[in-house]
Amino acid sequence: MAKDLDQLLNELSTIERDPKQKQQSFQKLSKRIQHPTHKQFNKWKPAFALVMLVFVCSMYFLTLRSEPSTQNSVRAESMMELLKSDAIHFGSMDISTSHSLKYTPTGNPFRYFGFEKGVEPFSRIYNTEYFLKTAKPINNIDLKIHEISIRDVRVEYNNWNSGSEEILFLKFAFLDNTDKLLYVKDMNHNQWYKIEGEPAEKLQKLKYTSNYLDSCASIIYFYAGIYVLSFLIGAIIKDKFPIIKRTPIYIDKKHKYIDWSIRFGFILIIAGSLYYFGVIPIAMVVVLSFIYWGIQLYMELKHRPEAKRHYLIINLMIQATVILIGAIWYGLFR
Amino acid sequence: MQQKHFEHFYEQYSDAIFKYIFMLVGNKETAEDFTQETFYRAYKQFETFKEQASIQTWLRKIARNLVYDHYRRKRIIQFIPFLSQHEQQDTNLLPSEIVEKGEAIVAVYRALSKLKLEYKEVIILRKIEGLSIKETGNLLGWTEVKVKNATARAMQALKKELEEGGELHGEGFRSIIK
Repeated sequence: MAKDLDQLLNELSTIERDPKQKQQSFQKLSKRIQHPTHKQFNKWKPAFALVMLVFVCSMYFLTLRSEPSTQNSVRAESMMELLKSDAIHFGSMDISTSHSLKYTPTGNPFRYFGFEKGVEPFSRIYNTEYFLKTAKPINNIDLKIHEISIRDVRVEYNNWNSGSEEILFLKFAFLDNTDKLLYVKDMNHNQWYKIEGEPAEKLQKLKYTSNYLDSCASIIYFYAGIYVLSFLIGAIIKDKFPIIKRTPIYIDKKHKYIDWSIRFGFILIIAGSLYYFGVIPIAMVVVLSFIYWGIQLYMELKHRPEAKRHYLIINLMIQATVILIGAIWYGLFR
Repeated sequence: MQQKHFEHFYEQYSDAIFKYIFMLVGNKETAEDFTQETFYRAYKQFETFKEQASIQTWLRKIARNLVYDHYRRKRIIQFIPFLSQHEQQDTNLLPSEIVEKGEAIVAVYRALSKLKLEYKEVIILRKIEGLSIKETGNLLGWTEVKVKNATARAMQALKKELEEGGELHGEGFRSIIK
């Protein structure tokens, strides 16, 4: 008599386990519990933490390191002395929106984020040197931050006397209520200048000059490519390890609070930096991001390595590293 | 957990876990190893056990993760010629417990082992282990509707496998799938 498929499947459940093997297995298990042998994985946990620390520190120093060709050659002359000299030729110019009258990339340009690279002001504003030459030094200045637009300007120029490429850091303060007056600060000498009349009107164009998007097209494609690649890798990881989808993001409530506290602290530091200095220090963002991911990675590996969520975090870290290398490569942190 | 309690705990649940793993991997030794590993992990992570699920569901989840890891490793091994030959031999061997049950069971077992893991799993849980739809859903992280649909599709795939895969011989077997 033919058996029903359900009945046959049910019969498969009656398979007996070998009692001898069961007993041996339990003995082995008891031994493992009483004398736990640490897996090799546990041994390299501190080594992993050390590698992480070295990596984060090297990232920090990498982003803080001074630019040899520019930082060491910041000129000694004041802006006016420089402009009077005929031995210079202004090269390219980088311009950036700023919110600070005090803080500039003069000290360490690597700490800055958001410089609009590759602006060529001389193609649109001719004789910039001439307009700057009309600047008059002033001692006292009272600018209200909400009534002005601030632009940081970094001009590269060739000094034919010394034969080297040097840098001029300026801060432009455009008044919102008039185009006929603007202030320029020579950041190396902490000296304010005033430019009035037609030259001031001509220089207003600097406020709007920006080909940031054009110059960033290649890096945008690069980042988009990296993002898509990372997204696909993440999707493959999730597909290969379906357990990730079933695992909650947080291990427990405590983990959730810690995670959100770190995020909140992160936002607070960035917002505070933006408020007090007017800039986002990229080194800090990098270090904080890697510390945050490092903690996440540690928690995952310590509490539930079997959930494989750490693969996603590692993927994110690799993505961030590639983006950072790309940013350094494209010279975004000059 | 104390040693005494653990012994009782092992005695109570290890057979069910062994059967579950055995049906998934089709190898007694591997199933025994994985059962041991399941209970070792359960012992180590007992604090993480949430009472929302039954202890058996929790143990099955641990076992399932181990099996998934095992299959993933096997997938990687397929790319290594020498190791893949070794693995092939291993899977072709039928467990003696199955052979003893007769030709019909062997046919069903062979067909079941050819199904994709998702189907295999839902049939093992629903039809062999006799878990309810809700319990199966909890274990697999699926909705009840998905469990029902997957069970129906898996059973159809099993019947098709029995038909097409040359596992059926004679009228007796043909009536199995009706």
